[in-house]
Amino acid sequence: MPDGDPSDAEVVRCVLLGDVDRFEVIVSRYRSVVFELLSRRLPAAEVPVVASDVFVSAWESLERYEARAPFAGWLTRLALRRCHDHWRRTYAESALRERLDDAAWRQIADAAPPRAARRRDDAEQLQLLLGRLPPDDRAVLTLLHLDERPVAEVAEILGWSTDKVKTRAHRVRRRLREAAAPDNAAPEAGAGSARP
Amino acid sequence: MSSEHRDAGTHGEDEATGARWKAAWEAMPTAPVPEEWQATLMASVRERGAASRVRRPSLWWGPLAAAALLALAFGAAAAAGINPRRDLTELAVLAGDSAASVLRLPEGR
Repeated sequence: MPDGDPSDAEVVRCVLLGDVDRFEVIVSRYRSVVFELLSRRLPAAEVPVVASDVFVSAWESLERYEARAPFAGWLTRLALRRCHDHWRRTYAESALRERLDDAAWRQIADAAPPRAARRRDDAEQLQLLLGRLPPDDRAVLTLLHLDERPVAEVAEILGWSTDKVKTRAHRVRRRLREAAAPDNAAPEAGAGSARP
Repeated sequence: MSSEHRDAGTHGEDEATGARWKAAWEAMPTAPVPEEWQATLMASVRERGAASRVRRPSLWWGPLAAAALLALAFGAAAAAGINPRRDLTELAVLAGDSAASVLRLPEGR
């Protein structure tokens, strides 16, 4: 922020006093942060819609922002919760709503077997995997392992206990390892001609 | 190959897969901000702001309205030649007497 520009806290105070137009300063400052964060988590077509939703939510809950904390962190957590809500809603509406049992996890392994995956674009494989995960597993994988956020922060974002985050993370890790294990893919190798 | 060697190999493979996924995660392209996105968003925020101003009157309106009504009442009483302090005291005494007679309280209690 260049010298002389009002701080986030000052802008927020003006907005809360009724100067709605000042909210545009906040949008201009943080739209790239929000778009980048959402682009990693959502299909490109849905990013602008959810980004609007994030900023409208921020405006509506601005009274709950505590000026002592950095605004970027507050807004980021809000955006991450919106993403989680989005995936829960999408998951509930989709055919994937049944819980992924062990057979379904094997299907993930079939869809992205390790040897083929090496040839496959990593980003494509990651998106394929994330797209098939239940929302809670997806949230833990992205926040804890890919974003490398502390357990306590993940717990706060998701509204869970730290124990629940750790347990879920352990389960996701174990299942990913099983899904990616060469031994897991071997018995079915003869069944599908497309498999290496 | 011993199981220890196999475990070490699996662990190394996990690490490598994790590193590749993390790199892919960080390299994911950012969706561009559509040209009219910010203007549309601000229009929506202004609309909501106007709606909330209509729905939620200021918290000051209650006390201000009460003070205005009180001033009006005292003004009207003064115009009618009533001294509110004296007359209200008399009214309180009369009310006390009436209450006492209704309750049939003995004199002096």
